[in-house]
Amino acid sequence: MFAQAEPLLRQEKLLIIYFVAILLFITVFSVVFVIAFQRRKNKFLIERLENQQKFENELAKSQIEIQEQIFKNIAWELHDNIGQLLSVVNIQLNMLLDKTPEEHHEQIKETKNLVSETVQEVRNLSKVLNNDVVLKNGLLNSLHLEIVRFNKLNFLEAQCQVTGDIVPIKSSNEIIIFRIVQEFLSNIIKHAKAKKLIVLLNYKDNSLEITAKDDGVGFDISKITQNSGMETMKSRAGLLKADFSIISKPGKGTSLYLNYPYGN
Amino acid sequence: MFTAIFIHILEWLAFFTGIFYYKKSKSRPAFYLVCFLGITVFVETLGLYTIFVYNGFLEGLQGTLLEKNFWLYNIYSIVSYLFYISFFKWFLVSPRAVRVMNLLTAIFVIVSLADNLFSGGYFYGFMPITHIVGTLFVFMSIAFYYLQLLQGNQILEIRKSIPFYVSVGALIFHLCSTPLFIYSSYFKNSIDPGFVSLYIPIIFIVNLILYSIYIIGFLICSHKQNPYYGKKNY
Repeated sequence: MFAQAEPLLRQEKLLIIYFVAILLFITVFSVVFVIAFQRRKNKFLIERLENQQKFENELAKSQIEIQEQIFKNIAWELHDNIGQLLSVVNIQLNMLLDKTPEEHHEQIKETKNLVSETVQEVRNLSKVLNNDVVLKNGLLNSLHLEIVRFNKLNFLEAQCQVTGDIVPIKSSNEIIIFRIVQEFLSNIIKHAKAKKLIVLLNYKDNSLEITAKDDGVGFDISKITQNSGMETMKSRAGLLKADFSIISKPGKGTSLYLNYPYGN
Repeated sequence: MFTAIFIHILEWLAFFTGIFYYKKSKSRPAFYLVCFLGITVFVETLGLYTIFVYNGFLEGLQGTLLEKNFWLYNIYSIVSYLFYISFFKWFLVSPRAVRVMNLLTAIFVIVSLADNLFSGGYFYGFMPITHIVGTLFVFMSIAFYYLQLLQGNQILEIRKSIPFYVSVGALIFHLCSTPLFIYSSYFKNSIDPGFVSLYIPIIFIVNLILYSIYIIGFLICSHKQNPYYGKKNY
């Protein structure tokens, strides 16, 4: 039977070619389509993630802006209102000095000195609160001011050390770094009962490394609930894309580590 | 006979709904689509002259090369394939894809002309190689269009985009009709009545699907404008 089989017609051969070609095309197209679909989906997911991150960054930024504004307002109030009132107190004391008998003079003078110191304190505090002033002074000067202020409070002995060649940092980032350190320092004052505090700024080739240590009571990191101070420090460090960690154990003091790459 | 008339009416309907759609959308691709439908209707109507060859005033054509209307449809099919290959080019953004389509168009023109001129069957049936190559290239053109859809946002409003309806109709029509067109020279009761009774219902159904999709597409698309349609400047 096969010996008698006739050769295929031209149309039959064409039909075979047609079906083979179409099936090949459909297969190739399906594969390409699936790959393209996969890519598109991945792109979409990445875009969504990026948008979310952008949104969170914006949120953190606006939170910081609000906080800075509040700090600024408090600084103005301190400087203008309380400072002025204290100055008036000083003038009143001066007038009192002339009218009171000699034996009270010593005490009034002491009070006057105290008032002057308070005025100075308030002014210093308002300086570190106002970010315009922080911007003008720069990170290092502002940190020094803060350290000096701490030392004056007589709670603890604070020290600030700088190593490496100082690299200028974008001022908007400088503020954020300063606020992180400030938050940490104010927590030490409030909770740590420390005697000593060392702040180290190490300007390396690619990054600024900040370490702050105290010898206070410390705390158990695993037990502490994430309080807002901790959260703001973290979100601010995230904004800088900096490495940030706080290490503490009960009885062994607390230390802060911040590594800020200049590139960001 | 009934099937031929029914398809004819559908073609006219598709042409008129196309005009109706064009009046609303005013886009260049829609203009070309309506023009193409106009040509189709014209060719189909002209092709009816064979009715009068056997019982009418055209009896003189009996026995000549013009006895069958294959010559007319062979020209028309080149135009039709060129139209479908180029139509989806409007919607491609990637210059590489457009270049590939231009190359395919050129190849198709050369192949189909050579096939029509030199294969010798021009007056006796459809040109099989033209149909095979044309169908494959239309398929590729539509494939590029679908991949393009995947990249952008147009896919969200696919229900309101006319090229999508055209692509579905064209794909079904060309993929299903080409095998029959390859054997078109057997379309004679004297050679194989079984093939004729297979050919007529399949071509009828395929045409019915094609023009129904066009009509539905035109009606849906003219109902509401697609916001993503026409992002490219025409």
